[in-house]
Order: sequence, then C-alpha cells, then structure tokens
Amino acid sequence: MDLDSQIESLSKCITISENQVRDLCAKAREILIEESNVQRVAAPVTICGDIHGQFYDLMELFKVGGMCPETNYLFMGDFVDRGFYSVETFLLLLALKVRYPDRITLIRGNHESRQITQVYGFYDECLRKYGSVNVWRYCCDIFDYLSLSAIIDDRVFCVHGGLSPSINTLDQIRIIDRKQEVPHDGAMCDLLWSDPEDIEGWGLSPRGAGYLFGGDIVGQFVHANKLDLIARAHQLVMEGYKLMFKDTIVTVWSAPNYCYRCGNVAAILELDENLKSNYKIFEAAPQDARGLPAKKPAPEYFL
Amino acid sequence: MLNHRQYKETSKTGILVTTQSATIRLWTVKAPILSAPQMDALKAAANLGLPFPEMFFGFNALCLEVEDRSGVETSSDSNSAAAAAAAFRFSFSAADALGSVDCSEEAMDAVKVAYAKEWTEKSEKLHGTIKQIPRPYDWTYTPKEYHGLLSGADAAAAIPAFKTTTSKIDIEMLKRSEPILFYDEIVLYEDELGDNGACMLTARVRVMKSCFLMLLRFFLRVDGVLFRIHDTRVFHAFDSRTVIRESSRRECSYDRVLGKISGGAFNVASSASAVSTATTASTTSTISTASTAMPPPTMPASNGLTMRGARRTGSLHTLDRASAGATATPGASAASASAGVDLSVLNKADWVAAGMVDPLTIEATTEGVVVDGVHVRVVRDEFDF
Repeated sequence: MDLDSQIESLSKCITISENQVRDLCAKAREILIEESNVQRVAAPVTICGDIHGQFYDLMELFKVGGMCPETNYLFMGDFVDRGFYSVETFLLLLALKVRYPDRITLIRGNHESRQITQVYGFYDECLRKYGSVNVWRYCCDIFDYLSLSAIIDDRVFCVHGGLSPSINTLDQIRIIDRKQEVPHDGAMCDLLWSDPEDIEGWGLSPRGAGYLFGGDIVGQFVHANKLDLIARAHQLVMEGYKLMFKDTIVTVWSAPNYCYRCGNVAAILELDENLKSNYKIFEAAPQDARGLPAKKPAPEYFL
Repeated sequence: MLNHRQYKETSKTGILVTTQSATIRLWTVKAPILSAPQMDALKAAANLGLPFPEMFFGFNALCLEVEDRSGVETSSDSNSAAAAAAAFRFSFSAADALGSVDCSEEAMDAVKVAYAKEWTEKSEKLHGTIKQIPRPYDWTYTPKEYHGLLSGADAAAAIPAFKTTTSKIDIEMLKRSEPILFYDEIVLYEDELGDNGACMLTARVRVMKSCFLMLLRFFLRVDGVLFRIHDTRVFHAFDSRTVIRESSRRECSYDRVLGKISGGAFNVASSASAVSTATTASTTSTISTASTAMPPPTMPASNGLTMRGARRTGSLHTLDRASAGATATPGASAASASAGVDLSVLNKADWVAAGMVDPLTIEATTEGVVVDGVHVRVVRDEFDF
C-alpha cells in the first residue's frame, strides 16, 4: 500500500496496519530530524491549534481551510489525547507530512509525550485499536523529533505553550537538544507548557509548577526578535481564538465542541503572503457524521 | 394521586410530579461553556476572584422546585396551580459552586502538583527573582461547603431551612428496580489542572414513581498526589414531606487508588449487576449493593505491563492490564470498552468512588474519620415542607 492510498484510508478514519505505521514513522523521522527547533515557514500559511484526536472536526477544518497540499498548514501540537480518534488524526497528519514535507509543519505540543498520553487517552486508544502498544511506541518515538516552534517569514513566531524565562532570543531555542521526552522543567518544558496572563513580568502557577508571562514579557520578546506576532495554542477558547496584549500574542484553538461537550467554536489563522491575518471560525462536524453515542445519557441507577 | 409529566424547553429538561399535597418540578439546564463576554459579566456580577475553570458551563444547573398545595384545592390543571401558589427552590448551580471556591493563600497551597518541590527548587536557582503568583485561589476548584442552595421561587415564598438530622437516605427504596421516569446528568465545570490531573463537578438526577435522588459530585484527581470526592445527595420520598440531604467528603492518596486497582480490590461484586437501562421503560435488573456508585470494572490478572501513574512524577506503577475481552466495563462509554482495562478508569469518578468507603454506611461525623486509608466526613440534614 503506497503513501497515497494510506492517506486515502486515513482520510476516511480507517487505520493503517502496524507495519505501515512503523514504516511511516521511519520515513517521518528522516524528514523531522532535519528540521530546526525553530522551523522556517514561508507565508501564505494557515496556523492551527489543538486538535486532540477529534478526527471528524479536523475534516471540518480542512473543509474550511482547504486540503493539504493546496493549503500550506502549520499545526501547533496537541494532535492526540481526549478525542476518540487520536490514532487516525496523528497518522493522517504524519502521512501528509511525509507526502508533502514542505506544505505542512507539525510542531510539538505538551500532549506529544509518553507520560501525558498514558494518562489522557492516546495510549489506551492504541492498545484498543491495535491490541498492542507498538503503535503508541512508534508514535512516541516520532514525538521526540517534532520541532519545538516555527517562524513564519521571520515575523510570526509559533509555539504550543508560550515563552520561557530562560529564553530571550530565537537562537537560544535553536540550541536546545529536543530529541527527548518533554522534560519536567527547563526551556523546552516552558515552551510547551507556559501560559500568558494579565500580569506584569513573570509569574508562577498556583499549582506549584509552571510559568505565566505578562504583556511586558511578550513586548520584550517581540521587540528583541523583531516579531509582529506570537501564535500559540494550549488553552481552550470559547470563541476559537483570543488576542492579548495589544494583539502581540494570539491563542488559536482548533478543536470545536471540545471533548464533544463544550459547545465552543474553533478557529484557524490564515496568513497571506503579506502576513495579513484572517481568522476563520468553524463548528464541530455534525453528530451523525461520526458515529458518536447518542447525546441523551442512558438512565443509571446511581446511588 | 400522583401524576408526572416530562417537559422540554430550549435548554431545560425536566419532570413535573403532582403529589397529594405538592407540585414538584425537577429539571436540568444544559448549555455550552460560557463565552468571554458572559464570563466577564458573571465575574463582575458575582465578584469572582479566581480564573474560570477551563470548561465552565456557567448556565448549567439542577433544580428542584416544590410548591406546597396542602390547603389549596387540588386542581386538575397544574399550570394554573403553579401560578397561584408560592414555591421554593433548591438548586445545584455552576455559578454558585464556583463562587464557593476558596481564594485564600492557604487554600492555594493546600495541594500542589507532584513535582512542585523539585520544580520550585530549580526555578529558584535559575530564576530566583520570579516570585509572584498573580491570584491566590484553590486551583483544584474544590467547592467549599457548597451543598446546594435553597431559595424562594418568588417573593412570597417561605423558604424552609435545613436542620441536622439522624435520619438517613432510604437506600432500600433506591435499590428497588422501579422504572426511572426522568434521568439526566450535567457537567457544571471541569478543569484539566494544566494536565496535572482533572477536576469535574457534575450533577445527576433520577426520578422514580416513589422518590427521587439528586447527586452533586465533585471529583478531583491530582496525578501522583491524591483523589478527592465530595458528594451531596438529596433524597425525597413522594409520600413524605421531608427532603434529606447527605453531604460527604472522601479523600485518599493517589497511590492507594492505584494500589486498589492493581491489588484487585476493585473486583467487588459481580459487575453484571450494573443497572443501565437503555430507555426509561421498566427494568427487572437489580442494583448492586456493593458500593455507592457504579460497580467497578473487573480487573483480570496482570500481564506485566506497566504504566506511569502520573506525569512527571517518575514513579512507575504496575497496573493490571487485561487480556482482550476479559474485562467488563459496565456502563462505560462505548469508547472505552473491549480490549484491556483502560487507565481512564482514573478519570471515572464512579469507579474511583467505588474503591472508597461508602459514605451511606458511615455515621455522621463533622470531625471526619479514616476508614481503610480514606479520610471521610459525613453530614446529614433535612427540611420539611
């Protein structure tokens, strides 16, 4: 089965065989290993946020944004976990990456991790769909090769989570050794985990781990690196996207009706050849299109 | 005479029960998570001092309304009766629950993520000047002493008051296989705790011919640290004039729950006794007596697979993994059936609750007791109408 037929199969939400996954990952590895930690991307490009295994909603995204390779895509991580179809979602994106390496960029989200996927669903889904954890292992090995960020025409910086107090310049990101499980702390961890917040300077999460960064920090980073905008994902936004700090940073969220119950819309950010931005909003795929259990809960004799 | 009628409005679904002396309505409100303007409006109106949970279903609520008609001539038209008499309301609402969350520094520091100490030490070494925490609040979003709210449905209503009681919820009545006339479950809020676990506040209701049960459940999992379940149950038998409320808290270490799973303690009772009817029609099934919740999954023998119990804790826990098809997952969603015990069991409040001591069997204690590694506190009160 060649790559095009694998893409065709995955586009119908049909999984490919374990051996095909192994070979696909091996090919993807060769491509990803060459990518920079700050992967260069040329506009026009369409920027997407979290997908979280919501395969049929990813199909809605392609309907709204156009298919790859006609549209040049940049996905900012969190392809897996939560939704019912993490396997098909990630493998389709990976197959597109192998088939059209210059027309789709995949960067790493905090869910592209061995530890997180064991708690939040991807591991179990692999085990359920393949009867073994081999596919999960192949995918996790590929996660380690995913780039950490991207820069569009030297003006728009894209990262899953946010900034790090250890990072002032893009060059500092370029020297990180990324080929590892997401660490518990340090710059690589921060890029995938931190959040913007309405504060001055840097802040600490009340949970006891993780950084928050304010508008002035974004301002300094944008200035130091001659940027127009930082695009990031990582946080659910009811409206699909949210601009902060005088439009210097935007959160893009691309999983409509998150977890099949939130009722939120999703967004993608289209940047044209002049980096002019256009946000496109889309809704979840119709219920009947994806074989989900009925909305009405079955009565339970709970006590 | 006892009548009932289901109804559905835009975001409201409910049932109207007419007993000899009262008209009783139970309904749920189900809407999407709040938009940014809706959040801003609520924040201002309720003077909320904390960030919203990631998924905040701010309009969602489970409500009970009782209109006392004793002394009023029984009308065949319940609607006109409803308009005539005063009624009071008891509700579980997302906004009220969130408003009860503690915003003190003590509450913020009461629980930290598993790797907080290690992370903080490194952060202090590398970035010692970063100290500010923007807003202190209980980031686990545990409602503080929130057990629902009694209010008047209109200005003229006399609002009853809860008083401590030694009565218990009539569990035998609830174990009967009486058909469920109305059932619903709603999420009030949910947060993924920055992928350090999960918290979820849900409400459920079931109405049978003879009685109803409402359950507000707060479920918290902090990976590598702890599990917490706070339940508020509200019970009423339609042939009585008393509403009984039981509020319980249970908390235990994360490792204990994992130990229970791998030790097979979740193997209680025959899972086949789970009652989950496809329709509201009558059922002949019996209800499991083993626990206060859904019977837990059967965990077959270990095949030696391991998993990491928690993100970033680094501790490896051995978990029993099922051989294909050997697992019963009663009542579980279709998405997580078939091969293997799925570890999303740690996300299933009912299953975790089933592995803890049953609060219905505990004598009321405001002090709390430790039973089998679980810290449990139970308070019971009631009101008459």
